[in-house]
Order: sequence, then C-alpha cells, then structure tokens
Amino acid sequence: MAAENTETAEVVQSPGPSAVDISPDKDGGILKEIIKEGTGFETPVQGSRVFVHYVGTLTDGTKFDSSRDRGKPFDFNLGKGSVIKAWDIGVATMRKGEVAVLTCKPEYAYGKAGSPPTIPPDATLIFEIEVIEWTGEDLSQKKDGGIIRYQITKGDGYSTPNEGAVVEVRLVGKHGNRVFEERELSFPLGEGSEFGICEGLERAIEKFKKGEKSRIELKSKYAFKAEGKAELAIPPNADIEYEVELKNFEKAKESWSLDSAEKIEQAKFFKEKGTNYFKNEKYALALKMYKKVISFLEFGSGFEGDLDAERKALLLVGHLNLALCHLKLLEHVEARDQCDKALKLDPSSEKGLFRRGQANLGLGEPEKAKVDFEAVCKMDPNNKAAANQIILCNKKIKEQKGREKKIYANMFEKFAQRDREVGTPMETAEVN
Amino acid sequence: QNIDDLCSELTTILGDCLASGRINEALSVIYNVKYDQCIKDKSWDIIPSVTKFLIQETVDNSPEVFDCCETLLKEIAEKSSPEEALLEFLEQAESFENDVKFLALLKPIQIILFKLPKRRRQSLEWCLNMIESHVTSLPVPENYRLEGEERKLLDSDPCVCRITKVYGGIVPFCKPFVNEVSLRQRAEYQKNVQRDLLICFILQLLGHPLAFLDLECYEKSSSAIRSMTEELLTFLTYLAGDLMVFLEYAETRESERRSKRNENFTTGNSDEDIFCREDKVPVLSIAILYYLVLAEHIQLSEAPCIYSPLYIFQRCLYLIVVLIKHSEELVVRKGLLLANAVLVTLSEGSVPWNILESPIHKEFVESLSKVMICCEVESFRKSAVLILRSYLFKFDAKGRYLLMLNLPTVVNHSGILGYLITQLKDMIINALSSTMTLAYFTGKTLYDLMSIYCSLEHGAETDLVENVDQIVSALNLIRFLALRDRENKTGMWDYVGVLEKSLLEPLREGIKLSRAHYKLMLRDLEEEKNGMVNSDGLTRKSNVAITVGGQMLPNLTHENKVTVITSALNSFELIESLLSRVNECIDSGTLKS
Repeated sequence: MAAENTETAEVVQSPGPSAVDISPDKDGGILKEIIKEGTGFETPVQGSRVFVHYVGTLTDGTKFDSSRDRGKPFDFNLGKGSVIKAWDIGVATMRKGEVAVLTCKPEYAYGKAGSPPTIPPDATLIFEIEVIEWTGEDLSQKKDGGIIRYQITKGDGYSTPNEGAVVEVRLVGKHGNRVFEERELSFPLGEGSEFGICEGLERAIEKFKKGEKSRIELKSKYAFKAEGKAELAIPPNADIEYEVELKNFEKAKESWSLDSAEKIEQAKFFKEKGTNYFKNEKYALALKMYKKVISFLEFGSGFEGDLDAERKALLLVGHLNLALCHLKLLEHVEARDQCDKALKLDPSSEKGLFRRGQANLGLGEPEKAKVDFEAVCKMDPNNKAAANQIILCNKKIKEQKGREKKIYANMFEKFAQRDREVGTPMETAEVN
Repeated sequence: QNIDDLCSELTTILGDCLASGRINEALSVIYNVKYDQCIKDKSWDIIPSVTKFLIQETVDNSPEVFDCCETLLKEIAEKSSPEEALLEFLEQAESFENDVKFLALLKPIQIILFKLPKRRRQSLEWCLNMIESHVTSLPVPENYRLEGEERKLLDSDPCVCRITKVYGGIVPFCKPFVNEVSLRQRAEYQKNVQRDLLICFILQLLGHPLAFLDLECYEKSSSAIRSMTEELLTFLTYLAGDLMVFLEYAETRESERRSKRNENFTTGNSDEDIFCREDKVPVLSIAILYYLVLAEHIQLSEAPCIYSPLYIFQRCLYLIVVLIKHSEELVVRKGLLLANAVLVTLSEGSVPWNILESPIHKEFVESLSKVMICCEVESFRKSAVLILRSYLFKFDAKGRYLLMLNLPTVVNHSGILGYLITQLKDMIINALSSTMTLAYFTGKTLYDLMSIYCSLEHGAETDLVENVDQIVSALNLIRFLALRDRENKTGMWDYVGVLEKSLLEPLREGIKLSRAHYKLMLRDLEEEKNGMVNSDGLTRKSNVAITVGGQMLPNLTHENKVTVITSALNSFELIESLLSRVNECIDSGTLKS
C-alpha cells in the first residue's frame, strides 16, 4: 500500500518537461521550471537581499516548509552560503515576480545527513519559489540602510581585510551625476580619515574580497555628514556613492587559514609597498613595510621545495632592504644587525657586506668596515664603489690614528707635567 | 460629599474590612456606584490601601483576603482612568523582594493595557521594562556540580522555585499581546513596534535567569520551567516568523565586539534596527535561543528548512564561545550541547579550510580547552574532549592540517597535546587508507607537524613528569609510522635522523637525569623515615621537599610522597620501554637514511 502511494505521489512531483538543468556542472542536480515569467531582464546580483515566498515539498508530496504559513516572506543575502546551494544558484537566475519550481538533488540540499527532524537523509527537495523583490546588501552595523552594496564584479577567495590591514583600492566618488573624485590609493583600514576616506566607505571595504568591484551607496551620516566637504564641493547632508575596487590587501599574520603560498604572497605585497615608499624617500614607512615582510616569513614551518627557496630569497632581500632603510635613517647599529642577519642567510651577499661596511663606518669602526669592503672587492674586483670605500676607510683609519697620537701625546705630556709638579708618580699612585 | 471625602471614606472602609477579614463588605463597597467617580479620578490614592495587603503573610494566614484584594484591584483597574492607574500600579509592582505583590498586580496591569489600545506602545514598554527589571533581579542557583540524573534535584532549589513562579505569571501576561500582533493571525510585511518590543522582551526572558537553569527534557518528565520556555519560543515564532534571523545579529555582535571602533556617530539613529542593540537583545539571549532550538529541538520544525548547516555552524561558534566562557556550569553545559548539535549536522571532511580565516576558531578552541582542563564537572570535561575531536574531523584535509599546525599556539597542556597527537595519528591513518589526498600528511608538511608535536621543549632538561602525556603519544606516533609506513608513503623516513636528534636522543638523556634525581629523593625520604620511626613511630610531617612539574607539593605525608615518586619512576619506565621499542622499529626499517 505504502509503496503504491509513494509511486503515485512521485509521478505528481516529478519535474515538468520544460525543466532546465541549471547546476553549474550540468549534473542534473538542480532542475528549474518556470511557472510564471517575471518582469524586466534583471536578476539579483550576489549579496542582494532577496525577498521570496516559497513552499517546500518532498518527492512524496509531503509539504515540509512554507513561508506563507509563517505569514512573512523569507529574506536572505544571495550567494553567501547561508542557504542550501540549490537556492544560492537557483534564485540568482530568477527575475522579479517570477515563480519557478526548483527540483534539488541532495548534493545541492541537505545531503546524506538530511536535516532532522524535517528532512530525511538523501532527500530530493522541491521548492516553488516566488521572487517578490530585492534590494542591495545592507553593510551598516546597525542595519539602518545607510551603507548599501551592489556588487559589480565578484571577488576571489574568501577573506576580507581586518581592521588595521593595509588595503589597495581604486575608487570613483559620485554626488548625483557628478564625479567628485577618482583615485587609487592604499591606506590602513581604520585610518581612512587621514586619507579622505569616510567612515561608511571604510566599513564597506571591510566586507570586500580581493578583486571585488562594487557600487556603494552612502547616506550622508556615513559620508560627509552635516559638514559636507568643501574641497570636493559636497554640500552638507548629501548622500553620495562610490564605485570601489579592492585590488589587494594585507592579511592578518595570525590568521589560521594562511598557507605557505599565501604567506609568500603577503611578503611580496609588502616588499613592493616598501620599495615604493623607499623610492619616494619615505624611509620610516618603508622600514615598517619591510618589517612586515620579515614577519610573514620568520617561521620556517610550512614551507617546502620552491617555496622554501623563495622564502629564503625574500627574507634575504627583506633584511638587506631593512639595512638600507636604517642606513638612510642613520641608525647604524640596527643597520649592522640587519646585515648580520642577511649574511647569516647568505655569507657571500655583496650587498650585505657592503652595507655592513657602511654601517661600521657610520659607527666609527673604519677597520671593521675595511674588512667588509675588502671582502666585496675580493668577490667582485670591478666594484668601484667598494674600492672607493676602502680608500675612505684608509683615510679614516689614518685620521683616527693621527687623532689618537695627538691625544696620547698630549696625555703623556700632561702626565709628565703633573709628575714634575707633584713628585714621583709611584708615590701618587700609592697615596690615591 | 465632595470627592476627596468620598475617597478617604472608601480607603478607610477598604483598609478596615481587609484588616479584619470582612471580605463581603469590602466587595460591596467597591461595587457601590457611589464611589465610581472617585475610583475613576483618584485611583492612585485607593490602590495603595489594597496593595499593602499583598504580602506572603496574607497568603499564608487568610488566603480569602488575598483573593479579595485581587478582585478589588481588577475592579479598580476596570473603573479607573487608565493613564493614572497604570502609573500607580507600576510603582506598586516595582518591589523586587515581593513576588507575591508583583504577580498579583500583573492582571490589573493587563486589564489597563487593554483599555489603552491607541497609546499602547509607550505604556506596554513601561510595563515590559518593569517586568524585565524584576526578572533580572532574581537570584540564580549556585554551582552544585550535579551530574546526570542529579540535575533533577535542582527543581527543589529555592531560586528555581521562585523563578518558575514568576515566569508562571509573566507568560500568561504577555500571551494576549503576542496574539494581537501574531503573524499567524494576520500576515504582515511591515515592521510593527509592538511586535519588535515583544520580541526583545521574550529574548530578554531567555537570558538571565533562564540561562542558569536546567531546561533539558528528560524521558518522561520535564520541569515546569521547560514548558514555559517552550511557550515563549512559540510566541517568538508567531512574532518573528523565521527564528533563524537572529543568527545574523549574532554575527553583527561578534564583529562589533572585535572592532573597538567608536560607535558614537550613530547613536540616536532612528533607522537603526533595534535587534542590533546589546541592551535590547543581549547576546546571551541569542545563544540560549539557539541552544533551545538546535539542541533541545524546540520549534525547530517551525524554522525554515533552507539554511545551510555550514552557515548555522559558523554563526553558532561565537554563541558557543559566549556560553562556555561562563563560570556557571549549567550555562557551560548548554554551550557544549549546542556545539554537539551543530557538529552533528555536518559530515566528516565537509567543512572547507578557508573558514578558518575567521578568528573565532582560535577563540573556540581556546575556551573549549579551558573546559577540558579546568571544568569541575567530569562529564563536561569528557564531552569537551569529544567535541574537539569531532570539530577537527569535520574539516577537509587542508583544514585539519592548518588546525593541527596552529593549535599548539593556543593549547599548551601536555594532556591536550598528547590527545592531539593521537588525533594526528588518526588523521594520517585516514589519509593513508582512503582516497582522500595525502598531501597534507606527507613529506615536509607532515614533518612540520611532527617537529611541533614530537619535540622536547627544553631538550634533555624537559620535565618528563609534566610532559609525560605528550611524550608517550609522540613515541606511539613515531612507532606507528615506522611500522605502518614501510614504503615511506608519508616520507617520514626522510626525517628519522632529525627526529632522533630532536626527540629520541635528548629523551634518553632526560630519562637518565630524571631517574637519578627521583631516586635521590626516594633515598632522602627513606633516611628520614628511619629517623622518624626511631623517635615515636608515628607518621609525622615529612620535610623532604618534592617538586613536580615545577610546583612544590605541599604538606604531603611520607607515604604520599613515596607514592608520587614511585609513580614518576614508573612513568620513566614506561617512556623508556616505549623509547627502546621505537628505536627497534626504526633500526629494523630498511629505509632508514
């Protein structure tokens, strides 16, 4: 009896002839049949807040869930993985007002485990869905509709920048139809105000993935508020919008999800930043960036093969550049320490030796410096700079000797003078 | 007679009648139309003359007088002008010590609220606030370390009885207001202030003190407070529709806490969503809500069947942390039960590694390991250990690898490290025997893990007694690999030399040192004992100082000290025999480099 019932029910619940396979792998996992065409051509973009009514049934016809019974449309953010896969994929294909039936295989629903108590294991689910409307994604902490995102290009990966992370963005700001700014910059999240980035925009960027491009609508309280911004001709209490692309960003070093390749990538990101600052003679900032390079590479574990070679090369460059920055800032002790670290990794690093020579010179140790420069010349006899430095060292050594001679000469002269006044030096020494 | 005279006449009569138990007379007075006008205008003078009898003593000695007072107050509520009477009733009800009075006044307050349908919002808010403060002032039961069935004893705890009684009055109080705006009555898309107000109120009721009670369902019996909780959740479904929406607020709360940014610029924001506010919806309440829905299955069948289990798992992690960080054991227990409930819905190996980007995982493991080590209830410690394993194995291979790589930065307890090494062994077995990718448990990556887990922190000077769990597990792991992986699938043999240097050799040296040290202590003790027997033959306080794991053992008797030392010496034996077994396995391996 029971078997018969199921059979008849299954006939009723099988997808109609016009059903289309919309699963990305075309494995028949999600079949969609349009019951009523929607209006317009637009479908909701990733992240949209979508409002739907739906009725869910099992293949035997049992209704297991219905938003209509709860008396309120169901709403969710599309493409965020908050709902079963079939929904994230299926609803993204629907237009406003459209009614469609999705037949979802367990792999796109609750799988082998099912979802007790309602969904049995390995169940195919049938949903009749009506898309009522959608809005942008509300990114404001207070959910007050003040920061709304409309995604244009989906980003890669899964992470978003933390507070304090350096982000690299391209942005176009609009007030009405007027573009008031268009620029590319990088800044640490949380310090946006120093760079003319308003609070709301920072908030929004925190939710971006790498490579993502979106339109952000800001209410004035999240933008330039009651003051407006005269330089950009933004009047008081003006709502504005930005088109923002997150080109790259720094990841938290302590993040558990970073594997070796990503750590290398992060180190390179900061190396580049450091070099830019260095070229612009911002040595203190460059220093900060190179320190971050080191921090991502410090721990040996997790690197292997090519990555390990790359890690070592980067680490060497990091220490060498740190040394150079310290030299520019006249911090010779630090510079020497960094050279020591570099030379520990590669004892024959010409740059390492040369920079340590410079640091030693700066510390007033021309003899030590000379040893370093001579080592450079030995490796590369054509290195004119090093040869010049040796000449400089010799000069310094000579000067130093001369000065010492003078000091000691005077000293002996003084002692002799005093001895003559006081008596024998032996006696004085004993008395004192 | 002017109205003031009538009023004082009425209060005098009511007072006299109630004091002497003449209840029929009191009732006839209140029904007398002569006083209607003065009840309407002067309710704030009349109400106190009745409410002063609302004390426990009246209930005990003359219950009929108490009943009469309730009838009188209902009548006054009906006849009075609602605005004034409400203020007076609220003032009277605000006595945290007197539950009897508080409960008796709920009915007249409800009557008045129904007389104010137009200005309901503000007055309802006042009433709910008054109830909320009464509820939050209720004391909660202390930690009794009850295990299993013993928890049923809690039902007779005076705090629990009191809370049950108070909730027993509150639930019927709010029922009609819930029904008024229930989505089941009238489907409505728009926001409604009374609905939001009631949602916040019910969520508040789920927090303190409910969080501290036993809300579990036992086979046949369930406590009175459990059925009230079930009713509250039914209300919540009527009001909110989708009970799962609060998971999003849990996320907001989590990220808000993490960023220390100043929130001033949006205060007094009229568009603001009220559920975002911690003072309106405490995160503890959200945590209890999902404990009830997901672990106790209350209203679960009413929740939408669309949410992905992975999403629910991620959102609940923070709530679990909130619960298990508490010191009250029944709150911790709820956290553990919630953790179990969300983990069960995930299949092994199904959780992608990239969700580890969220710092919540570190917090979760950190607080879970605190329960594993420090919790006073044994069954909680055990269940935390099982949760950790279940959690680890839900991840894909890369996720497991990343977790194993990072866990030692969070937990530094030999017992847990030992347990983790056992898990690592299982992961390797898993990888070796399945088609699942071996990638993260071979070669350099495996070596990275082994070099973290299979090493001695301070070389030969490491305290072996303190680290015995870790050492034994590490030796077992190496032995297992040496025996199981003869073909060097894992690449372990390439690193055997390194392992010998980092673990096996210093360990041999360490055993030698420790054994000599402990034997010396044992000899000292024996000498001391001989001295003692000579004097009076009684067990006296022993003076030989013993340090184990860097801590001095205080005031132990001689026998206890001998036991401690003997057990330490036994551990060394154990380590040593394992060590020689490991060396044998390595030496017999053809692949030794």
